Amino acid sequence: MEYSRKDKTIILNRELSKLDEFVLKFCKNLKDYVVVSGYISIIFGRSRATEDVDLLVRLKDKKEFFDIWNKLKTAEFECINTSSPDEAFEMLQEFAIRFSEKGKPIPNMEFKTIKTREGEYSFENKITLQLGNSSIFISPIEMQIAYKLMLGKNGNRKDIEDAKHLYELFKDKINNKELNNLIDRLNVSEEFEMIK
Amino acid sequence: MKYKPDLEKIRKGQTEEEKNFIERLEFIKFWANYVKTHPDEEWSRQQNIVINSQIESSSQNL
Repeated sequence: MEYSRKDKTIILNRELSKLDEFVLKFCKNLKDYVVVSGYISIIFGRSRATEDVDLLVRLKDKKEFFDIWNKLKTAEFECINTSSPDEAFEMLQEFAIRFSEKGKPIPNMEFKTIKTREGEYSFENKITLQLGNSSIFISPIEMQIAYKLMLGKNGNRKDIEDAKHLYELFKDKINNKELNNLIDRLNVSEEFEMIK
Repeated sequence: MKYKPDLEKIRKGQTEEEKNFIERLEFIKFWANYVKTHPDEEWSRQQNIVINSQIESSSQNL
C-alpha cells in the first residue's frame, strides 16, 4: 500500500473481493461522488462483512440523476426501492435509495446526496484510491476515523472498531493535526481516547 | 507473528462485555499491524474469505 498525502492518492495492490468488484463496477458509471463509511475500513483490511456500501453524490439537477439512472440500468444495476426514476429522484431528496446488481439485493449501494457538513467535507477533500487498473474516490482517512467515532457514540462498537482499524493502519501517515480538529469538531475526544 | 494482547488493559474492563470489547480492540491493533507489514495480496486473500463467503451465502439464502 502506498499513500501520498500530497497527491491525495492511495495505491492498493489487494486481491479484489466480490464486494470490491461490485463497487468498482458501480462507480464506473459516476463522475462526482465519494465512497464513505464502513467500506473504507473494509477495503483497507478490516475483517468484517457488510451488506451495503455508502456513497454520496452531488447532483446538479434531475437530468443528471436520470443520466446516471440510465447508465446504471445499461450496466445491469437496478434500484431496489422503485423502478420509476421519477419516484427515485423524489425519494432521494429526503432519503437514501439503494442500487444492486439485477436480482441480487446483496451487496447494494446506499446512494445519497450530500446533506451534512461531514459529507461536504468528505466530498471536497476526497482522495483517489487506485485498485489495479481502476480507481475510486473515497473519503479522507482523517474524516473517516472521526466520523466512525461519532457513530460509535451511540454505543455501536462496530463503528469504534472500524475507527480503530483505520487509526492503527494510518496513524503515521495521516495529518494528525487535521484529525484532532475533526475530533474536536465532532466532539469525540472521549471515543478517540479508547482507540489510541 | 504472535498475538500478544495487553492483558493489563483488558483487566481494566468493568464487565465481561467491556473486557471482551477491549480484547477485540487489541486484536484489531494486531491485525492492522499485520496488514501494514505484509503484502496487500497476502492479507487481502485472507480477508476475502470472510467477505466473499458472506456475499455467497446471502445470494444462496434469497
